[in-house]
Amino acid sequence: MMAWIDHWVLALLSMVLLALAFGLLILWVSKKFKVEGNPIVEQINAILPQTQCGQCNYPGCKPYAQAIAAGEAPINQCPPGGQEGIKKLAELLDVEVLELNPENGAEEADQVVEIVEPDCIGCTKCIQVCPVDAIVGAAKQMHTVILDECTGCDLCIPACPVDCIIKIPAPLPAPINRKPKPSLMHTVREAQGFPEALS
Amino acid sequence: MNQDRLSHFHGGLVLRHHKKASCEKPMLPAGLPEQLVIAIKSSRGHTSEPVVAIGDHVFKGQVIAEPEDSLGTVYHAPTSGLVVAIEERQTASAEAKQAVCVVIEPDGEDTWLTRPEKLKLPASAQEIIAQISAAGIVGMGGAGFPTHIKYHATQTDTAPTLIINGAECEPYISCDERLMLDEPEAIVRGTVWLLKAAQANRAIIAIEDNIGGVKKQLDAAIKKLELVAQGFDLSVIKVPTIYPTGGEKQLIKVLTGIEVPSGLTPLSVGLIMQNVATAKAVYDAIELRKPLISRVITVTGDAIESPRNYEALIGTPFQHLLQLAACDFQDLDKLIIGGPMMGYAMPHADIGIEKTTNCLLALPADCTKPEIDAMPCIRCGDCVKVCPQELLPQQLLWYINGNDEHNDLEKAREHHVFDCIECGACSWVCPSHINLVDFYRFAKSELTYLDHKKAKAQQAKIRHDEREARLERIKAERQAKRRRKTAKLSNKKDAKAEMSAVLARIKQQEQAKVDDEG
Ligand code: SF4
Ligand code: SF4
Ligand code: SF4
Ligand code: SF4
Repeated sequence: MMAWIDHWVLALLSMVLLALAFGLLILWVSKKFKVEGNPIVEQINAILPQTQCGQCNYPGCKPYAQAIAAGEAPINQCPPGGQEGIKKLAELLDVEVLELNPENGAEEADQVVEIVEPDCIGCTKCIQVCPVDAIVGAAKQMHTVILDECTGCDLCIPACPVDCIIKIPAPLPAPINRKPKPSLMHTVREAQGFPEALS
Repeated sequence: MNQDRLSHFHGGLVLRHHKKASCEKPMLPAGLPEQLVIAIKSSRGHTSEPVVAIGDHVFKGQVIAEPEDSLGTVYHAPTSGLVVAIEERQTASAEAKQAVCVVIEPDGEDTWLTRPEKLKLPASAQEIIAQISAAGIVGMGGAGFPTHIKYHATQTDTAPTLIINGAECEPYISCDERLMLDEPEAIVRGTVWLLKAAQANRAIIAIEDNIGGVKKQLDAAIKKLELVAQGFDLSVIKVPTIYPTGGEKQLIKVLTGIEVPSGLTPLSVGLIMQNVATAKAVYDAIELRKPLISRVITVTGDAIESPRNYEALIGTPFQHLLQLAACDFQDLDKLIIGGPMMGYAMPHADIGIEKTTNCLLALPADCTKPEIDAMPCIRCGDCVKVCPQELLPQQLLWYINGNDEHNDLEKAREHHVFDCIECGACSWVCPSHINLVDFYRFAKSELTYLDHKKAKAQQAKIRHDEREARLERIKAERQAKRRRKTAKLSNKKDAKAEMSAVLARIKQQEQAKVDDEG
């Protein structure tokens, strides 16, 4: 009889001890590998193109990421990210792929801006709006855009009182040589030139 | 390494060689064309900066362009003459891409830049590497990678083995074979210089087993130079003629059984590979003090009446070479640089050859493959069987062009699209006539572009975050200042003191004014 109770106590004790040990382990792991910030916002923000243009109706990419994470905004409001970006967001969040909302703007080829330097009056207005500090210059001095840093957000264009900021195509480093995608039919019917009506 | 211990690479094709016609006769100098059009960029797009101006007179061997970055190379004037233009022109690279070219009109004198009389051979590995770099030598097998860079990394590691690649596996091209027949000693001497540069002593010259005579020539040269006595171990090994056995990773697999891991260079497994023409160029640079200003090029194809190998100056326009080889311009349908498998079609014949241009292939209409519209992939798996890189071509095609929902270039990357050597074996066998290589070229270029964009976005994010933090800090500082002030003024005594101080200042200023007026 006693022996039976002994076993019983022993089993209970070992269970409690194990639970305690694992509990402590979990506590330690959760402390040690704590993720800073809201991980989903960071993941969304990593997909957004960081142009910081505000076309999504939020004052930058991160606020838009926060809005998406909070379920306040649909995923199709970022024109610079384009359809590819929407696809990636849909994959991450496991939601349906949407068409880019035309109210936010259209996907355009990469561009940056340039200041027509003789026309610049040195008002510093563009510096104040540039979200990535891509413009250098001082009061009453000519200003210049660091092309490599400019995201092409266009925020500086309306800020300029003398309209001396113009869009130019974004320069690409020499080893990058973008090629068009070759075309290939998907179905035998397409390939054989069957009129769609017959299918 | 021994003949019967060779390995095999996966897949590959047995193709008809079409080399005999051009390789029968010894090579000839191509002479001076009317103009030389020298593209000053490497095949990977690294540019050099011209150091001459329009109207300058240049001497043969004079530097005309210096590298802009570490992967660019030096360019020399191939002959003496006048610089008549420095402008963007189409070049002998994929899609005849535009690049800056220096155009030289030869004066016919061919006068060398004066060089020191006494030849001083380099003594140390560093000196050899410096001379190779100064001679503007690049990999002449096609990659165009600056040769000296491969040797900088070898300075600390254990001695590597050098593989001299004479396995010219593409049909039609015979410039390396002809070079080995005509200049075996120069190649062997160049190889020895490369060994010294790598501080190594073992080299293998690999040739294809269908070119028997070459082995005898090379063996004789090795024997004549008494290299064994000097502690060098050079051997000539015949490898089976299977396309693309001349590919870097394929040849290494065949010779050593080693598979170079994805994304790494042969140096990671203790090997350096160099083309035979590069070895010859090294010999020229060091023993003849002649920078890389000419190369052997095969002019062949069914539209050419007398196919042949020419030693042509860099920048010689295709037109000049085609005329030399009696091209039937009426019949000419397609002009290709490189071989039929990996070559690129050229839009016209006024483009100058580059350091990497090994063949000019002129084909009449009845020889070129009729352009059959591609049919859908039927997943027959033929492409998988021939891919020498052991990729899954049909799966890559699915990821790149499956259909719009399934297109995912990242998946193509995961399936090693960057390991594709664009050999064209898959396109060759595809029963649906799909130009598979075009899709892989597209995927590679697009992925590189997307990586660039991603890096830029990351940079923008950092700058944006820094700016936000700065604005936040400035705001906080302002607030703190204001708060300090309000705190000060809320104390009656302090406020009074402040008040009287301000009044005193005003009084002083008025006093000063009165003094001035007075
Ligand atoms: S629209 Fe502009 S600000 Fe908004 S997420 Fe896209 S790039 Fe960022
Ligand atoms: S320079 Fe103009 S377009 Fe470029 S990032 Fe700054 S504000 Fe945007
Ligand atoms: S060979 Fe052509 S049809 Fe066959 S699996 Fe490969 S891509 Fe598809
Ligand atoms: S082109 Fe690329 S995918 Fe096709 S067989 Fe060659 S290595 Fe393989």
